[in-house]
Amino acid sequence: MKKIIILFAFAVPFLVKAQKTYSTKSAKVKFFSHTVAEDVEATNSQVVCSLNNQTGQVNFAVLIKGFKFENSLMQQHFNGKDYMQSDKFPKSNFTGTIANMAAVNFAKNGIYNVSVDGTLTLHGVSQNIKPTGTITVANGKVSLKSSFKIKPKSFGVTVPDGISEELETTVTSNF
Amino acid sequence: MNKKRIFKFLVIAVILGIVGVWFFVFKLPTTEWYRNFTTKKGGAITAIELVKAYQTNETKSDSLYNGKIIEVSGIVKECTKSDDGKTTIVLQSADSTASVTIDLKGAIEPLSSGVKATVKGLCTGFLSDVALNEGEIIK
Repeated sequence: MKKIIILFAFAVPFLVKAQKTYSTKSAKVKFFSHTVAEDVEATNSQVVCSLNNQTGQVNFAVLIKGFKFENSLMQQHFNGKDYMQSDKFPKSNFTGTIANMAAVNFAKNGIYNVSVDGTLTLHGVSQNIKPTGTITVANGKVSLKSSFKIKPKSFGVTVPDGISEELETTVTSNF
Repeated sequence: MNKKRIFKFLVIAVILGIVGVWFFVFKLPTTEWYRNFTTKKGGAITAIELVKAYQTNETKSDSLYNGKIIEVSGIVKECTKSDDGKTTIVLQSADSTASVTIDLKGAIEPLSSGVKATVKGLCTGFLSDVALNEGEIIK
């Protein structure tokens, strides 16, 4: 009996997959929108992101003032009281769960398609979104990428004339 | 004759207007000078004080530092260069779980951990660290 218990104790770590939360403070969020005058594009590379390899929980947190535009006048308007009101709503976050987590094998190299169901909070308004993306496993390194469209109006953000009503958003996270 | 002069004047005014809009809306705001000139300044502080201020009262700290160029000094905890050439400096605070993370404007030779540095940058707020971008090393 004692031998069985000892054997079991040694076997458990190999039988049960290790739960791990991957995290980074340097994920990137980029958005793009076409306008008549010029394209609107901004990048934020100080995004906090975490991914749990067992529960499939994905979290993102973004500082709105961290979005950098090439045109700083555009950046001021973006943060201003007529658009994102970043003094009032300085952060945006996303909390979701990967719906098909069983399809991802963190022990095997590959690119896995995933779909996420979660809540995005932007401009003080929370909305359910279902983005799709990929998880890439390469020699023990894990990365996450997703592209999806956001309608600022549905988050209470007024869209100036001439700007597309949808923002093409790309999230990249290398853990 | 008078009509011709008025027409010429109008053409010149329209051209000057177009050039002015192009320059002041699309060209000038992309320069480093404009970015520095139009961004508010928030003074100097140590990394230890800055993290403590944010942990104590985030709203008050945001009103003091967020969206402003501040000068932060402290001990380098980590200095890394990303694949796209971006250099990030992490200054340590009294709390081992929170730091000041500064993305630099350009790439530099990485600083050694433990050295003292003073970095100027645009404060963008607080997540798990206080974040600054557009940074440049003062000393």
